[in-house]
Amino acid sequence: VSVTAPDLKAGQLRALAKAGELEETRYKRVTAGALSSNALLAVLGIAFLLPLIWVVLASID
Amino acid sequence: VSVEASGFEGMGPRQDLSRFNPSSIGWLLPSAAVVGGLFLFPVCYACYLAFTNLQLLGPNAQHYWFTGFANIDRMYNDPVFWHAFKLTLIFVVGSGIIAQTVIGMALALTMRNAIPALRLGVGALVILAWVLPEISAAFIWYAFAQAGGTLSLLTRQSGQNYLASHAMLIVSLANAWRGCAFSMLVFTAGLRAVPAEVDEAAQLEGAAYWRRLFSVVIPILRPTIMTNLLLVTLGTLSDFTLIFAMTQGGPGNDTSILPVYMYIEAFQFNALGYGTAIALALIVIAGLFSALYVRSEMKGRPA
Repeated sequence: VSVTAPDLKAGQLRALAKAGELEETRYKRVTAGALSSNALLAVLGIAFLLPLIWVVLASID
Repeated sequence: VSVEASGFEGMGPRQDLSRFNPSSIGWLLPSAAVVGGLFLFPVCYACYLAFTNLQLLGPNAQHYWFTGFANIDRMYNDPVFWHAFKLTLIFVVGSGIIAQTVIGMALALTMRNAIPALRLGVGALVILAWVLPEISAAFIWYAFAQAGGTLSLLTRQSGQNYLASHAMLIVSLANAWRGCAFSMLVFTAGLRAVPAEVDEAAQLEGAAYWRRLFSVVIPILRPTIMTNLLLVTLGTLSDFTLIFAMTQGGPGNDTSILPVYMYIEAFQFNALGYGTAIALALIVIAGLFSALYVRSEMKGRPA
């Protein structure tokens, strides 16, 4: 059975799921694109942080 | 075209024709005096000084005179000037146009899909680099690149002074590090103006990320990119403090871009006239870049 959420209430959906009549589609929470985008941003962040390290450490020495 | 023929009958006579009243010139005089006195006169006077033998100290400090094209001729035959000119182009194109724009764009794009903590942290770092006083940024990069600094430790060459061996690269990186925030903010604002429906439509058509970026997002961002390029170019062309504080144009003349060379000639060698002539050359270069961008921007506009 193919349904969209606004058509049915949660209880009805659960009943359908129990009966095995519901086809569940799981969307990926982590995609390769999002992962690589975050990784690139982290690398850029480290690149921006590096020059500051010496000064920060020297100032608290 | 008569009023009747143009289809505007019944709207009365054109109001814009009689708007200008010669007596209003008097009201413009105070602002004209301010603009003339504080902008036009200094610029014209600087143009005049570029054609004199004025010195900061010495025999021509008080009694200087018009020397025609002597300074221009000296500049044309000065190998250090042409070396500084070449370095200026490398600095503007490498550090400003390419590095700042590409990294700024990468930051703006990656921040759209980033997790909030990472976006906040990196955004704060990038903005911090921008809001730091230029002299502080120069000191940070001086400490970073000197022998025993973070860079030499990372490359496991603790005796290596990168500011001596790769001076131009280091000052270019320092300038890009400091200026990326500006491009990032400009592109972030520009990306917000890209309609989500257009991107979604391309996605539904099966376009991959890079295809959508180069065929949808960047063409829409074109005016923003051109404005950013113009501002970054002009900002990088006039960069002086960062380089002078880090290297004073050295070692030798390795980082002596035109603003630094102009300062050295005018205030260290006391040749104010020649220094002003170099400043004029810098204005001409900035004007050429501006004309190039404006022309390119006008070309991209729909008729």
